[in-house]
Amino acid sequence: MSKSKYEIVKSKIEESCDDTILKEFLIEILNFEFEYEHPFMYRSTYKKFLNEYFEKWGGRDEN
Amino acid sequence: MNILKNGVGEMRIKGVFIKNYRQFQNVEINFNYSSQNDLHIFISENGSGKTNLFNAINWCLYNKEPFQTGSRDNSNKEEKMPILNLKTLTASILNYSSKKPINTVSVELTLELDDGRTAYIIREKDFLVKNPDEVKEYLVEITDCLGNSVHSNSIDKIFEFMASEKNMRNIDIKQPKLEQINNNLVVKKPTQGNDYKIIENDGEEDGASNFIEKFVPRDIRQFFFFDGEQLDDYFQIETGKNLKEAVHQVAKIDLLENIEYRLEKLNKDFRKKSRDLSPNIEKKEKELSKKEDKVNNYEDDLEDINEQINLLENQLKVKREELDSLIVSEDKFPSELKEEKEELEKKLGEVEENKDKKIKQKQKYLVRMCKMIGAWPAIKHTNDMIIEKRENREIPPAIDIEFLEQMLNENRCLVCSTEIGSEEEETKERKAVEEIKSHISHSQSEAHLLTDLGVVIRTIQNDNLDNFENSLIELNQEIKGCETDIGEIEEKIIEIENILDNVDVERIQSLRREIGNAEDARDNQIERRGSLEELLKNAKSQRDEAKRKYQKALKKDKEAKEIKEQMRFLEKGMHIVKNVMGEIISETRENIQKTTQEKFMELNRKNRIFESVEASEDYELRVGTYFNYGATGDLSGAETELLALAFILAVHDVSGFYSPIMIDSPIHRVSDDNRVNFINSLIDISQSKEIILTFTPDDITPNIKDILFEAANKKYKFELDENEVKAEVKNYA
Repeated sequence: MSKSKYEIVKSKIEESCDDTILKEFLIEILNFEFEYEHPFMYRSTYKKFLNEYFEKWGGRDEN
Repeated sequence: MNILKNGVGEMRIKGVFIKNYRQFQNVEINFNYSSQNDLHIFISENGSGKTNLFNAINWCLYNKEPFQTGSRDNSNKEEKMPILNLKTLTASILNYSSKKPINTVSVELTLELDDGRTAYIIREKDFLVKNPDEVKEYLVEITDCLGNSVHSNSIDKIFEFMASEKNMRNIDIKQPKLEQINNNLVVKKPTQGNDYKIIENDGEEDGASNFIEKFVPRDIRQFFFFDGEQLDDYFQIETGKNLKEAVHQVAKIDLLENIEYRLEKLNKDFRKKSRDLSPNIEKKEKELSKKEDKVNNYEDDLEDINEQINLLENQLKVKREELDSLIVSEDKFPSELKEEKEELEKKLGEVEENKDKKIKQKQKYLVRMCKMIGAWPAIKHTNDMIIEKRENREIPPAIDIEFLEQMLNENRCLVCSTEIGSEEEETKERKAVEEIKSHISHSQSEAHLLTDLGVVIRTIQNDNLDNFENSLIELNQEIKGCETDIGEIEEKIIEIENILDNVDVERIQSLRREIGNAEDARDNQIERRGSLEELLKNAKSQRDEAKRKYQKALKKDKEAKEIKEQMRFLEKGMHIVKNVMGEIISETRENIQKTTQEKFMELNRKNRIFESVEASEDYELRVGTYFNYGATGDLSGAETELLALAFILAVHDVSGFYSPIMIDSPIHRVSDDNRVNFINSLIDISQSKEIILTFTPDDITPNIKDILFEAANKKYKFELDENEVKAEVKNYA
């Protein structure tokens, strides 16, 4: 994916997501996917991000 | 934000070099251009190699041959043909001696990038002939038939011979078996200056393939290479399918699709874990409650039993106290006393009998001793006299006559063994012995009598008279002893009789029965208590286990709740990703629609009836006239092809991939009236994009020939040899 497409997707996520923590989580994943087109063992990385942001999120719902 | 103009990759094909690929044994085609139109055309009969040119380019880029080759009728035959050029293959087998032949098929594309620099994409495959011996034998058989020596010059004749069905009837055809042993994709990518970076890989995912993806992504290649004969069907079958595919592929939401897919996978993992963790708290709680009830029931039962036992113990205590108060002796009861009394009475009888016996014995003794005592003075006198005579030696010695006779018989003294001589000798000693014998023979009987009498008297004195007093005392004592015993026994009997006279035997017996029953009842209860205690122990153990499981379930439940929260977080994320994808797709669809409309209006400028093109939510492409909207099926063949072309150009535009368009037979199904307009549209496009087109000679109708030939930068034709196994590219005159 081109850089411009990445910027578009990132911008769309930012526009669509009101929940700050969730937004940060998705952008973290987007960056990861953008950096590694075919990530090996993505589960562990996704789980790492999830644990990190879920802890911050703490089950709250900004909406 | 405009998501359409990505500015990804722009390139044109400068040339293609094909070696040993199908009918192209060694072909180089140049697509340089100098005029204002980047348009290149091939005009050849069907089956000459037009379609395989496009296949060769696809094969080089994607390792695929998407197009049907040759005429539609002989496609099956074509599919069976090896990718390796038959002449090259045959020559390699004919020249084979020891090492199995390996032939290389390669296609090399020379690309001109948007910055003017050149890049190269080369795909090579090596094929090993697995059965050269048998194929060679077969070929030699043919050459023998031909009467030629086996060398490469004879190949054409071999093919000529094989082409004749008549010749082939008697020959068992041996097909060469090929094994692909290598597949290399190499990209020579320009770097600084005149240097190139070589990127190699056999795979499809990264490296060289990625370079190609920047210009014509595999997913949207069908919008760059296509069969013109299918253009007018483009929107007739599954109208929305092409549009939907195009929108999704052009939108390039693969990154978001990956994210969505992986979030979903993660969510599935959590769902599974959550299911595994699903502790069924209620069930566990019910089980625990059930086990606790069981324990409580057993405990209640045990308490009842203990109460029963205590009650029975108390009853026993009272009864025993009462019994104790009734029992006269420490450990004897009336029945036992009765037995004792009977024993005593029996013993009393025996003692009285013994006493009577002793009294009679005393009387008999006294009678006997009275006589003895009366005669005692006379006896005593006699005894004294005997003693006196003995003391006075008036009683002859007790010499044994037999002893003396033996001495006389043996002629010797039996005391000192002195010889006393025989009867005839009449020795002094013998005579003395005979005299003694004669002398004592008369007094011997009296002497013995007196001696015996003395003994008797002494015995009477010793045994009777001397012990009379003692014997009497002894007898009296024995009688007295019996009397004492009798008295004691009688006393005991009276005592027992007195006791028995005062005892409530029936009550005691009743008490004994009651105590026995109470003891039995108590023992039963104790036994039951033992069983209950065992049951209680097991029930407690089961309750503890249920409690442990319940606590574990509670812990799992906590984990499950945590996971559910994480799932909620993920699902919210997925929702956002889906929305973003939907938004991008929607924008892409709108942009493709808008651009298709612009392109269509531009291509169809002479026909003013059409006003707009609409792509509906369900990807239905409809063309609007001044009067209404109609389905694409209402369009003429040329209009449909123009709409398809407009759509493809829109896809190019929106996707940002400005790569060449290659159309095999673009006007084959377009009627004469519309051909000019269609060709003009393509010529217009070729001013900003490289276009490679193929035609049959019949397609080149007079009305388009001049326009097309004037605009085309290069005009080629394929020429097949007589055996149709080798094609050459030549300029079309």
